[in-house]
Amino acid sequence: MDNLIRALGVSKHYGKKIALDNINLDIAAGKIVGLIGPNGAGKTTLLKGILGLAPVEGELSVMGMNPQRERVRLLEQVSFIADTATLPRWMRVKELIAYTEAVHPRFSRASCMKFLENTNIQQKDKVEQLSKGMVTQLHLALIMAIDSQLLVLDEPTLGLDIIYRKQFYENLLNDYYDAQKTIIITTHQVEEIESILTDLVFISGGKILLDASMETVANTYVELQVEAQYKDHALAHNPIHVRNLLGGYGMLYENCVQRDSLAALGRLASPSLSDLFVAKVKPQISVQGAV
Amino acid sequence: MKMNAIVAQFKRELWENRASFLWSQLIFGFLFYLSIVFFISTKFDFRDGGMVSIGGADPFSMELIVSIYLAISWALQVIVFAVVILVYTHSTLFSDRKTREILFWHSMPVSETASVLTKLAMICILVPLAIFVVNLVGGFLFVVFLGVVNPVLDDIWSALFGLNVSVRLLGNSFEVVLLMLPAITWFLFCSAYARRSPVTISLSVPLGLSILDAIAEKYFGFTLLFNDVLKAYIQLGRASFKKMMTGSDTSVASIDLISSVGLQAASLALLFSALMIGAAIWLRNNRYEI
Repeated sequence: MDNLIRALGVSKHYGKKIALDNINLDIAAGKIVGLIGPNGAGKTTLLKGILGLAPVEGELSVMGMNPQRERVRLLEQVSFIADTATLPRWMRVKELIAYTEAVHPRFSRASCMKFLENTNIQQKDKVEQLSKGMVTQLHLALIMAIDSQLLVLDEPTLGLDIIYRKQFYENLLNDYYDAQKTIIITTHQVEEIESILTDLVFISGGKILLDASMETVANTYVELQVEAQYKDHALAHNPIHVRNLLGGYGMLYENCVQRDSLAALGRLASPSLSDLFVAKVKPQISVQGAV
Repeated sequence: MKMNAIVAQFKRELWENRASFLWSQLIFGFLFYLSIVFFISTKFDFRDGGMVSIGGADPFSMELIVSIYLAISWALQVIVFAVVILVYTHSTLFSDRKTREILFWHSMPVSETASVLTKLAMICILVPLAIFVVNLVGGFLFVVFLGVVNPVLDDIWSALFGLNVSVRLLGNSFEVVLLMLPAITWFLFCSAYARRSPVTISLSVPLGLSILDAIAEKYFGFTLLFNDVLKAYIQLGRASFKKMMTGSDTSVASIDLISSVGLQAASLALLFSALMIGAAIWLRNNRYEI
């Protein structure tokens, strides 16, 4: 499958601070990729590079285009929502729709109106009159009505309550996503996107720590929930991360071939993304705290 | 860029600045109309042959009184728009960079070149046209008013003929914009360049250069020519304004600003303006603040 995004040796410095450190990344079409990282990890910088909003060193191509040099042509194929507060507050809904329709060749007014039918948003409303959740619905309606090949979402549900957050991802999956479209999502609320991702990228300190499909992740990583009395046996299998649990430990293993042996020590489970994330970003292999 | 996308860019500017670009003109135009109508209603005296005497002064022809109305209305609108443009040029390439709104605009396939040139065209094309339309409508309503108080067909026809002055005033509006182009583009550049206050830069840089030039001339015996250019520019503006206000004997609209400016000076002014706009576009493309 052709790569939609290809990054080879991509770096970015802000003065002495390294935001991206020689990153290599390939993203194929039709994927939903979670770009997960702590604050200051380089997620937004990478997305800005992909969108042509910031220059980066190295080789970066998006749909065969140089994002910085061909930003306008690229944005005919790429949509993005930076966060929920970027729609101009002085604009009316009908003006936003009219503007987007006029400047974006792949925008469908009919689709946008269909999305808005299920909301309480009126055409005459000004953005500043809408609640944060409604602004998100409006932005999503505008973006989903664009038949783009790549959708970039940078913390799209930041500050929204749980109902709007759930609705956001439901709409995204039901009304937008198909096998031809690629979505990149960054968020701190990893548990919300866990079930919809096809691929996972962990980034920290400007470096890619993990780049794998969810299937690979499930096959590669396993968590053993073990009682305290079996901890030495479990530690002998070289976990990459150990955390305290009530009455025992959770030990995370990478590429462990002796799953049967582990199963004999306790309960095996697929690690949650947040546990895996912590394990990769902040490995902790000694047992801490007395149980 | 397609035509409807260009129109959308203009609409966006109008939507964003509707209070300053639309409502201020309509309100000032309406207030001026009301005050003139009130003034003439209390002071006019129609005589034979379509001559009008106001407050006992020598009589005017209907055509001339309409011309005077249009010229004063035009001058007032130019002053109102001068304030509007001063604010607009300083803020338009600055304020969107300071909010996350810029991320929405950058998510649309519109180049910075198109965006900056639209803003320039708003000032250079749309403002003169807006003045023309408001002036013409106001002038027509004024003729209607004159027709009501003096319903003589020949006089009304003569008054209607006076409206042709608005077309000449449209030409004058374009000339004023051309005269102001170096200042307009300088303000736009400051708006694109400033990190904190465009006004501070737009004022302090010329002021600093002026002081440097004065020091160089006084203590080192040479000049940077900045003060000479600035003086010539200000003098030209003052002379043009004075000419506009006094006018010629028969037509207040017969102003020729272009002939007042030499070809060399005009070329320099255009070159400076082009450089400022080019620099503003470059800054918009290469500065990443959010």
